[in-house]
Amino acid sequence: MPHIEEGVFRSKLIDRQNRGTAMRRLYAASFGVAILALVLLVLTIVNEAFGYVALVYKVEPETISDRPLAELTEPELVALLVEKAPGQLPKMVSDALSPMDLQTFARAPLGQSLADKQVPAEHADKAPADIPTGERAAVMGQILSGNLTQEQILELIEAAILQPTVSESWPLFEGLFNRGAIEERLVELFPDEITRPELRFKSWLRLEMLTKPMDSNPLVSGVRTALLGTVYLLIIVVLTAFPVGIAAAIYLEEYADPNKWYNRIIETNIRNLAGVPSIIYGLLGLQLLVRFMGDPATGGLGITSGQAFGIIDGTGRNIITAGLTLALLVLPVVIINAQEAIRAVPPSYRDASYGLGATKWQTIWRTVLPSALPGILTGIILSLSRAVGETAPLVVVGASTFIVQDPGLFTRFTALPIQIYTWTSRPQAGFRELAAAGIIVLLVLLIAINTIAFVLRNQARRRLQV
Amino acid sequence: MTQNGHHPRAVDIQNISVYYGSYRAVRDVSIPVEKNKITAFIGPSGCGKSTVLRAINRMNDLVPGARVEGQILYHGRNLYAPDVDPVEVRRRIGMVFQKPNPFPKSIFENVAYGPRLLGVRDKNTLRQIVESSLKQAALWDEVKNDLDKSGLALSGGQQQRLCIARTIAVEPDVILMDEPCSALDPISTQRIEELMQELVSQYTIIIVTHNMQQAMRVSDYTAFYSIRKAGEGKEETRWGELVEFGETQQIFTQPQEAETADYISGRFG
Repeated sequence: MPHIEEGVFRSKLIDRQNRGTAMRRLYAASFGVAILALVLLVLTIVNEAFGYVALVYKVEPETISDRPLAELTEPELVALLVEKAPGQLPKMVSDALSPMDLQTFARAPLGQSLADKQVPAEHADKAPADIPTGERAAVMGQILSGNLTQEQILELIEAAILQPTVSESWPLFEGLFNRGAIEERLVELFPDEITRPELRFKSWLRLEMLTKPMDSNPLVSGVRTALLGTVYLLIIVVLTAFPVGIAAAIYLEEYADPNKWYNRIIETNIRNLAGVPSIIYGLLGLQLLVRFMGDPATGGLGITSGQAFGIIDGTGRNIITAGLTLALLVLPVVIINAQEAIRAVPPSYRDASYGLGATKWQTIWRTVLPSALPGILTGIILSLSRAVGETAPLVVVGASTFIVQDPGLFTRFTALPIQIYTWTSRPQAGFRELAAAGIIVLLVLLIAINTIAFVLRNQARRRLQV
Repeated sequence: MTQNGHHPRAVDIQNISVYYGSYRAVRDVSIPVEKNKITAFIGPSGCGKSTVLRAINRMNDLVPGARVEGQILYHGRNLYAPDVDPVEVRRRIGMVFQKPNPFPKSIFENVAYGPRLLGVRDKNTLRQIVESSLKQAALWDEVKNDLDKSGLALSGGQQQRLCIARTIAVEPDVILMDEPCSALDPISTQRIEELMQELVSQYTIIIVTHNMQQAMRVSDYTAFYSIRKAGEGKEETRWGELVEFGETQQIFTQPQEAETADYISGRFG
């Protein structure tokens, strides 16, 4: 008499198979939800980063030209500039064409300050300051028209004479699918048909964002200073957290005696530290790096604020302290991943290496680390992504919200997430959309970093395979 | 057991015991290993034959808590003397492992790994070492056009011969083989056995094997180990001991001990 009855087995078998099918559907549904969330995220960002605007001009285009500006020829455009904004022309030339700042530019011969540009021969040996005031604007206009395209000159006219500001802005999908409501709103805002601005498509994501610093006008504001800040932060993290983290992992896996109580406590706590909220690391960075090692004016050592290196006005709220704070933040993740990777190296590789008369260090360097490299790189991908997106610790350490000058190591700084956060909280029209464009820049940076790390990891992995 | 005392010995194991912590895993083993001969260690699982083998090139040092008592003489020097560097021991006494374990590197780099450890940098010298090692390991003709291919791309038997070439490349004079054929098919096994016969003119070989036919086929001397027990229930301890050592011919035809006779006739083990 068998213990398992045939009838029971049959009915249970159908049950078991059904359960499997149900689980498969559940997994597919979960996957669907995840994909849907991702698509929604992308759509939301695109919806904000592109859209429609109503621009209000300080000087209406109609008042400076009886034909639309786009129809004017280049000489006519330059003539407009010379007529309406004569005083601003030297600055325009200096900004657009010369590597010098305005002061130096004004005193240097044009042939020198615009060495590789088109300069009228008769003016090449003169500095802008030497040209009589009455003629200066015309000469500058000549230089502009010789070196810039019509489109670039049109942009100069916009910035210098028309000076547009965003009156109202609407997201992309509203502009596409609910045009009527927007038109009604425009009529409501500008009852007078003559001064009513026209609705224009606007891509907030512009290539110039990368090269322009922050500005209080969302139409011209860029992310250059924030992007530089983020890149510098990443460099500091790469240079500090990775060597220290990998070295610590090697020590813990290869040298530390796992039976000693203190090594066990250290291991456990590194795991705990990986889960500590990032704002706590911000507080640690503030106390240790900004205050204790920072500004002597508040009792610090003057190391991270730069006094020890001859910087006079350093406060300790800079790229160095922020970068080191982020390095502390990602260190546990780097250590844990490197440890796992080192532990996963087959013991037979070690045996082979020792068996040939390798020392411990030779075995680690020539066999263990190359085999562990793909795993270590995985940890690095994870931690770089985390460091790029962190905002809270930077706020605590003291990132600034508005930076126009490119940051140095000991100057005030900002970073992309901070910049985005600041923009989203500004009430003026245009900044929310600018924040969405900033998010796209951040995402592209993130994808670029991950792609590099991914390619490196796959190369390392391929080297280990057949 | 010392009837061959006047022959030159490559390694002289004198009364060693191996401990893991306070556990004495192998007790009082003495084996004189003759130069340019093949000595086989046989016995049931857990009898300590691999442990003794790994004591000879101090691989046991890598196991936390492992310790050896007694002495192993090599060219008249005790390998466990305080001034002996285990790194040097492992270079002079090479080892081939149970499972073929080439590095995840090219065939060339696998063989060049050892010489590089010792500081050989010159490309030409390395190339010569790689070629002569692969030739000695009877692998050269099969791989000479694929030296840049991964060692892992070879078949199991080729991988094991690559490991032998890698061992030879650091110019040891003793080669320890820990069940080198247990993961291989019969044809690959036969090639390794032929290779051992060729190598023995230049090297002293000690092989641990589960396969009694193999011991009979390849070895000149055989050491038979067995398990001893003491105590009852939870108090029970087991350890390995050497039962009998002698010329292979004699061990397999006229064993002195009843236990050896039982084992080789397949009555246990």
